[in-house]
Amino acid sequence: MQQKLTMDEAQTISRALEGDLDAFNLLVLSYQELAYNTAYRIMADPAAAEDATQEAVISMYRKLRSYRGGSFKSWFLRIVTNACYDELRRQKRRPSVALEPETDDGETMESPSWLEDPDAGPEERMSDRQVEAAVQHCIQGLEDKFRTVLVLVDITGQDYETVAAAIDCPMGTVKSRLARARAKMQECLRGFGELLPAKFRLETEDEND
Amino acid sequence: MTRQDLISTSEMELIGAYMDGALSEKERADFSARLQAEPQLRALLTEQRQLRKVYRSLPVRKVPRNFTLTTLEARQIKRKGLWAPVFGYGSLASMLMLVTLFFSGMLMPPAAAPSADLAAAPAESIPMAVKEAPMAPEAATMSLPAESSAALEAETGTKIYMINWKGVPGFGTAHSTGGLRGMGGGMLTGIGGGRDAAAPAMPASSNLQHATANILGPRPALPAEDLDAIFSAQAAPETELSTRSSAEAAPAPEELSSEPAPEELSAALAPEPTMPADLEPTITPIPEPLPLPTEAAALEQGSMPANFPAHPIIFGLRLDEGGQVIGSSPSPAPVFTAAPLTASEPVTEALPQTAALEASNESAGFPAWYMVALPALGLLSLLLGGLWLFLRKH
Repeated sequence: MQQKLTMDEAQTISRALEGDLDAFNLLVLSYQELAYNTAYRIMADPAAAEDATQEAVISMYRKLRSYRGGSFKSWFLRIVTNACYDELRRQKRRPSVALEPETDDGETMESPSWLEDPDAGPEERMSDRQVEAAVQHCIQGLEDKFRTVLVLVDITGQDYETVAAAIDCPMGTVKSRLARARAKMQECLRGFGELLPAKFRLETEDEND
Repeated sequence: MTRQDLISTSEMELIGAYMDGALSEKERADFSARLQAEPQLRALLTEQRQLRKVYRSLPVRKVPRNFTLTTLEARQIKRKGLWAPVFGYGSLASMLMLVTLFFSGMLMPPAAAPSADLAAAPAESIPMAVKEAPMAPEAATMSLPAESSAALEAETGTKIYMINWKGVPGFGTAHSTGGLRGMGGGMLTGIGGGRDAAAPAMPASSNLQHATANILGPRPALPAEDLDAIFSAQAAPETELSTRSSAEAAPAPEELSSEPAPEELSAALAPEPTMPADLEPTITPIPEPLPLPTEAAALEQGSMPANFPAHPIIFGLRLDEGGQVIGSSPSPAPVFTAAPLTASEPVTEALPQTAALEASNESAGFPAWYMVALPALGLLSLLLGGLWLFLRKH
């Protein structure tokens, strides 16, 4: 997901700290996709994710001098997740955004028909879009602290150490929150259970052994 | 009960760490051994891997646009970044000043109240209100700054009256000044009149047979030594004032109430008593303290609502449990003491009042700068706080 850096990150950061806007923008280009996708999975709304990403970039520019070394990615991810929850708090004060899947008419499906179809056999496949909608639906049901860890580890593929630095918690907390988030997701997605397409089934049990 | 319920969170952590390659070599070997022996654990791991595969299969969203900053945007962000803390701290500072100013006005001890302005003022310019009235030995006393009522009336264009209803003094001025302390037996801030040429309100239970009204006309200014005596009363013990008032209390109440003037009585008896316009003022320059009622006396005569707070802290004027003014701030208000009145005291007097009294009625003794500074600071803190919020939001 993350773009390969075509520069020495430390040097770029150093130049950005000295006020070099081009260097700062190189950092933005390097991390904007990660930032946007993290925001999108946390907020489940493209427009809100765009706003949060922009806010995060502005905030990064403003707070750049407070960067004290360490993982720049973790530092920026913390800004991104904070921007996301600021945006979510703002949204709560405004009319809520539907998180449920929508019908073709744009109406919210409280109980999506594809969840309840009695004829749906084990081999019946959901489209990728439906899988995404199901996962996103379950993510939105998580508490903020669990959602952040799950999105960062399981969706954007960050390691525990980066996430621990991003959320400013010990590694054990990351593990614990991730375990609980996964358990909740598993419970939530159990409703989709047999509907998951075969391509998502485990091919070999020893995959990671 | 699901399979998930049967395993602990620590077990789930272990499965997750194994799956994510976050276990040490030894932990990994131990967990692999368990997997061989526990098919349930193996099934759970399989399920978790499957789910993670689902998560990782979610499409990566392309960014809708680049989020890089232009030079102009960067400059604006820096500028806002400079002003935001200025506004934020400015708002906080003005709020603190507002609170400090407000409470310093409320809580300033009485000793701090005497004003250099008054002390330094020429004696003839300092107003003084006096009362020539027979008082019971326990009668309330009061000392007020005053000046020649002629000069005052010429200046304000109004006549100011004070009338006692059975010993409960009420003040009538030529225009409304608002009352905080009830009617009829009002104190400085409780003005019995309130309408042009209106007489003070009458206590509900007063005996009108005893009501007389005399209007005192202009009188000479007091000598400086009298003023000194009056101002020293602020720090002087109550006993001194009481003694003086007791010594000078004459003649007896009965003598005064024996012959009420018919026109005054009819004015008092009218549904809306007004002071007769043609009543000839009498000049009676007696620099004695004014009587003021105690709360009990005022209540007894119906001049104060029974549910009125017993010991209110009035903005700029503090009373003790006995209804006496014990402090005013930040500028000095007239200091007076009140002692119990006899209910039968039939004293009715009208006195010229002073600009100082009128001014204190209207502004509760606060100087102009104070009355301007409070709302100005409030507005400033609101403005700065709003700007700070705006900059933070945008």
